[in-house]
Amino acid sequence: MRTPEEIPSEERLFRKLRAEWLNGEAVLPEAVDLQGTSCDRAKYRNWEELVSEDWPSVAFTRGVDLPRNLRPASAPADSPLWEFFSVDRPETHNEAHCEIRPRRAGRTQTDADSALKKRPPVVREELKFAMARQFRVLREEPDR
Amino acid sequence: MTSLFSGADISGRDELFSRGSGTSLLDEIFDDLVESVGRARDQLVARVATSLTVAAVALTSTAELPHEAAAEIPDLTLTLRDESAQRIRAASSQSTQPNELARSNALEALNALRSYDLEPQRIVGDPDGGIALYVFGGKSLPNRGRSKFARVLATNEGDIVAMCSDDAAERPRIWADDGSKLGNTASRIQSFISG
Repeated sequence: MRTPEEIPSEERLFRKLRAEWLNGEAVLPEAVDLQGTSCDRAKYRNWEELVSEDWPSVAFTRGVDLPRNLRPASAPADSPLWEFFSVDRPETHNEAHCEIRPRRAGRTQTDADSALKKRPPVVREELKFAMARQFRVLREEPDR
Repeated sequence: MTSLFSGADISGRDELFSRGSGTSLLDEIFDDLVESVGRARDQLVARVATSLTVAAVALTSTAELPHEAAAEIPDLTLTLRDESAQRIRAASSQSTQPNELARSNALEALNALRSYDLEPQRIVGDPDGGIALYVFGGKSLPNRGRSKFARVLATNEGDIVAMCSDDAAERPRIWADDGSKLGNTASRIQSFISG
C-alpha cells in the first residue's frame, strides 16, 4: 500500500452516489458523512470505474472548492468557524481512497473534529448542506 | 405485511424499515456466502446479489408494484424481500443504520406531513444515522430535479431537524423540532412547497 501524501488542491476527488442522493444535478446532504466522506482521488482512479448499478452517479469536488470559514446561520456570532479539508487515506484494496472531513477553522488536525458532535443538529445539517453543494455531478460525454 | 412507509416511493433495496422475525432462506444463503467468500465487501455484495437472482425475480418485482397491489402479495414474500433488501443494504453501506428511535420519530414526522397532504417522494437513510423524508416541489429542473425540496431528518440521537431549500436562495432554512411541534413544521413545509 502506498504512503499517504498531500493531495493537490486542484485534484478532483470523486464521490460515488446513490440515485436517491441526487436532486437533478444537485447533490443532497445524504452524500456527506461528517465523520469523513469517502472519495477516490483522480490521480489513482478514473471516475467511470466507480459507476455501478448501486452507485449510478459520480460527483467531484476539489480541495480548492471545499467550504471554508463557515459560520452556520443558526450559530451565535462568536461561535467558531468551520471548514472542510481532504486527507489522503489509501487502503489496501483501494489506493485511491481519501476522505473529506470537517474541523474548526484554523485547526491542523486531520481527524474529524470531535467537537462537531456536541454542536446542535441544526449546525451539522448546515455544514452537510454546504459541503453537498460543492459536489458537481459528472456525466458521460455524449459521443462515448 | 407492508412497509412502515408503504405510501412512499422508495425502491425495494431501500425498504429497510420492515423487520421480519426468524431466519429466512435468504438469511441462510447470505450467511453461507459470508463464511465462504473471503473478498472485498463490494465484490461480496455483488456476489450475494447475483446468488439471489432467482429469488429476487419474484421479490424485486414486488417492489415496483403500487402499494395497493403489493398489499395483496403473500406476507412471506414481502418478508423475504424486505429482509434480503435490508441484509444487502447493511452489507453494502458504510453508513450507520437507522435505529428504532429514528424510525419512530420518522413515522411521527411522516404522519404530520400527511396531515398536511404532503406525501414524501423519497425516504433515505442518513449516513450519520437516521432517516430523512423528502418532499420536492417548485420548478422542474434537468435530470428530474426540482427547484425546491423539504427534508425532515430523524436522527439516531432522537433529534428531528427540518430543512427547506430553494435553488433561488443561497442558504436553506433549517430548524429543530423536538417532536412536539411537528404540526407546525409540516405547516411551514407546506407553505414553502406550495409558495
